[in-house]
Amino acid sequence: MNLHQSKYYLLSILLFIGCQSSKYNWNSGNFEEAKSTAGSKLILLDFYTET
Amino acid sequence: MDANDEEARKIFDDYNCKGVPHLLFVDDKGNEVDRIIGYLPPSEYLARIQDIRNNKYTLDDFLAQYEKGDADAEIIAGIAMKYEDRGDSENAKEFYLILIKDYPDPTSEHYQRGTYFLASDAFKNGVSMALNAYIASFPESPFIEDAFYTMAYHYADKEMREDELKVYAQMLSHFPDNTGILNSYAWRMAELEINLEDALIKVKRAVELSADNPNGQANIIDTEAEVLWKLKRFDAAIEAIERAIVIDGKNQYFKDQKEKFIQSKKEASQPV
Repeated sequence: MNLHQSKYYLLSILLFIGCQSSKYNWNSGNFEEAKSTAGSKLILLDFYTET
Repeated sequence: MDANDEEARKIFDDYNCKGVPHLLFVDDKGNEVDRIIGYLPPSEYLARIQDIRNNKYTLDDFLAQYEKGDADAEIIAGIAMKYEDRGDSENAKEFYLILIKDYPDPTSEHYQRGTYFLASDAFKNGVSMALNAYIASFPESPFIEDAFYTMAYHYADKEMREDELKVYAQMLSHFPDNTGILNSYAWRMAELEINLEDALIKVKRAVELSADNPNGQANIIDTEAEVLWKLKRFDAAIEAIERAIVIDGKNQYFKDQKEKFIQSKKEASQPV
């Protein structure tokens, strides 16, 4: 297995980070929907590999 | 986000992301606030997220300090690295040049990073000796390995086999006991189906050297199995991949590899 340049499966999970609290909310929609509801919160996109 | 791979891939590319894990923080307009690339220990990870929430040590924060005249080497390097992470080479180059000009300390990591970035940029733009010159000029730099890989992948992309093989020879000479480099070389030779006996020697050495890291070793044993398969030594390939499966029994890829080797053995034993 090529460890330095391995193929990866790209998945994405998104959550909101509230600026006033530590509550994290998972978003079940797509990126456009997340942006339309984010308001002053940040959106976190997580790209990771399954291998 | 219930994203399928296609949507995720598009976002990944749109934001010039390279490598995983990759955490991207954006606002409601889709403007990037910051990103975290690679693994971090939990405490460090939490601290980074809190800083990003507070717009601390972000590109905007660094640029605001720079424009106020508070710039020092840390801030200038920070700006350059943020641009580099975003794939914005032109702005990264501008700030690395400022850093090198204003803080010319060849022993500092920021300076070495900046010079490595500029050498890589020159190399990718056709100055073929730029990275070899960097390696010769900064033999103790922590970016030497990166410099070799940049050259090897560039030549691989351009299908410049002779140059690629020369780089691997240089790498192996420079880092004879680096398990990652031994493994990468062996895997690449298996892909190219050349130098397979040499690749087998190198990957076996990497397996020995990685004995204290079983998970890493399993991936290197997989390379050994792949090389053996390319050499048509199917029984040895099956035996090797079984060793990897003993270490990581949940790894479906290893199981698929074993099936591939078994199938090849069957096909080879059938009369023509």
